[in-house]
Amino acid sequence: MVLSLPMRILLVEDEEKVARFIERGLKAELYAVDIARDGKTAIYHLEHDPYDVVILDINLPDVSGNDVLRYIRKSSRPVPVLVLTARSGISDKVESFGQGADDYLTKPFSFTELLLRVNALLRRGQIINTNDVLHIADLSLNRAAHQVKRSNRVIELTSKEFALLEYLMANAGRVLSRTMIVEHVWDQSFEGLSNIVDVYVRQLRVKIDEGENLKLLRTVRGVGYSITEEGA
Amino acid sequence: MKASRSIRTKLITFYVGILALVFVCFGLYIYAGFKTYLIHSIRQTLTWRAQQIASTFLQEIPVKGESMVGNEIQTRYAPELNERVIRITDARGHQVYGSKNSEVLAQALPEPVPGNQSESAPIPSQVMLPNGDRLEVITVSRRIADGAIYTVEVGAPETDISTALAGLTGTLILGFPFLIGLAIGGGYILLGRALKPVDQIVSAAEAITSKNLRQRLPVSKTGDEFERLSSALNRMIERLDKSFQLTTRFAADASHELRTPLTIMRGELEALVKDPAMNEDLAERIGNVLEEAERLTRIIEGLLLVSRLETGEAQMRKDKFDLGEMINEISDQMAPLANDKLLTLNRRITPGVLVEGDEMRLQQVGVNLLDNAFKYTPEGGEVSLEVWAESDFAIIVVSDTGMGISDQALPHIFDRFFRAEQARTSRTSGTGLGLSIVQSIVEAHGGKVLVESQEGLGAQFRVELPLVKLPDTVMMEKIGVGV
Repeated sequence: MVLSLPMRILLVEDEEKVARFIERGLKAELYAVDIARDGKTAIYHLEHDPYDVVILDINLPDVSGNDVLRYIRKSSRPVPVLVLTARSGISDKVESFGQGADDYLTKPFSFTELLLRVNALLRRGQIINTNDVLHIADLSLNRAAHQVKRSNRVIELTSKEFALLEYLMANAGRVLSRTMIVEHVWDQSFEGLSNIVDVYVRQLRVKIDEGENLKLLRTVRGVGYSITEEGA
Repeated sequence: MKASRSIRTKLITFYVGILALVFVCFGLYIYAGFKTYLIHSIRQTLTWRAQQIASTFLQEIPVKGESMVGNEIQTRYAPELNERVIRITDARGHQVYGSKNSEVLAQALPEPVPGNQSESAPIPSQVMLPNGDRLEVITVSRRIADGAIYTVEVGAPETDISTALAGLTGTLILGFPFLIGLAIGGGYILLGRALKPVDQIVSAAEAITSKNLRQRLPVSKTGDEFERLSSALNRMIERLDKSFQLTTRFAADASHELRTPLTIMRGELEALVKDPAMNEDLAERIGNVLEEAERLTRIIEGLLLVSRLETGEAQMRKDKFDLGEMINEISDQMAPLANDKLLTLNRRITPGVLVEGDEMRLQQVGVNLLDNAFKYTPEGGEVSLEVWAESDFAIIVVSDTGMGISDQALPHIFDRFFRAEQARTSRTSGTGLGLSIVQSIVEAHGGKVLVESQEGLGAQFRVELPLVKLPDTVMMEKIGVGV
């Protein structure tokens, strides 16, 4: 993404260490990040600077995250908001969405997931990359024709395998967690289902990488899977 | 119900026992008193008669002669007809007069007559009659005008007394069962009425579980022990409610507090692992730590879920949906796990089994049970999955040909963090909460989970959920029958 101005993100988080690693990660992705440690500071920042996305921890001292959310919704500049919370209760989720949160992430989360969600919020209203064909090295995936090729070898994939490969290739170079894969490909999230990801990745690896010198599917222990040109 | 019946029986037994004892003592007392009274009155009559004979007829002996007086007595009293015995002897032991039955009397001895008086005190005695009856005898001696002393003996048998006493005994024996019966019957009815509030308290108390601790028992404002009992129980429920709330609060707070450090650990470690400068061995080791951090997260999530479900705090959707269809989808998605281990997955799923509840959570029940079955069944084994409707229940059965569960482990299989010895050694990646979650979700839906297993032969989990029955017309539309 080459832009004249970096995208500007306001991170509202009272836990210093959490704020620090998110900031570092986002800066590595070339985003400009401001940090607010409490609700008052957050509102002050929002009054004075234009932001492209707000990452908001809902549990804040003094002015609560929900108050900040309400403030944003009332202001004249609509900013997409990603809410972070330490609770997984449905009531919190409902409340946050009711207050106008655009997305929702429960702690602890994978940073890649945070990044993908922030990117999705930033892309909103813009034309989404809908290339019909995705490429990694000599692997190509044709969305329209539902076809996958390695060099000139046509690879037969089941629909779930195809969806998994498409998700990995659309986020090439990024490590995707099992949870993210289950939520995206299976549209669900259960502990027992995350084992399925391993099975599918293994099947996919056999079909794509077996017999090839350059292995594209990479396992990052404890984090997840990715597909990269550098190989595994 | 049972408790009140037994306290009723106990109380009735106790007081009927006391009543019987009192009745028996009372009967004995009456019997003895009545007998004493009868003997006393017979003696009084006899004494009066003896004194009458002594004061009238004996005085006439010097005038009329002994035989004349004897005849007069015979005519006047006719002792044989009245079953009386009368004998008069002089001081030398010579019989002046004797009724025909007087031979039963012993040799008569004159009683000493004090010098300043004309008559001795009456002396009672008893004589055994040949027919077994006793004869009451009163002896009186009298000094007549010429100074001679005569002794008068008057006797009567106790037959009348025996008859009267037998009558009394009969009445008492007849009255006893009647009285006891009345006491039992009356007590049963009265106690039943008095103990009725206990039944009400019991059924209300039975209905209170950890999920509805905000409910209270009905308190009848009667001011008696039952009001105090139900108020005391209500206060106890309130204390339980408070401590339950504290526990839930604690689980929620703890999971909240643990999330922040986990977020930091995970964020920092992930950044390290993805750093291109990181060497492979180190990345592997950090990955190890990350896996454990993730497991910790899952444990926290699971624990919070279970405690919320158990206290009824978890919000549950209430949708009607086809359980068979849902389980079918789940098993389709999970089939690759079975294929991967070369397991045969047999499915017998009846469509159209409707249940009401939170579909997402019930999906988790299916996922956890299948996941378990796949995990504990060795390669080449069989897992079968069945869904059907049985009277008022929707049934899911998941059975496997795995290692099974030992008898010692079986009762604890749904406990949080419980792991059978076999499971402990064969894998370590789980949370120890899978089956607790299954049980909590099923119970929150008003159902139950049962497990059967034989060690080495496999295990069978059976979930029973309340079935939703649609009216016939709706059912016909659903299965496509024109109305």
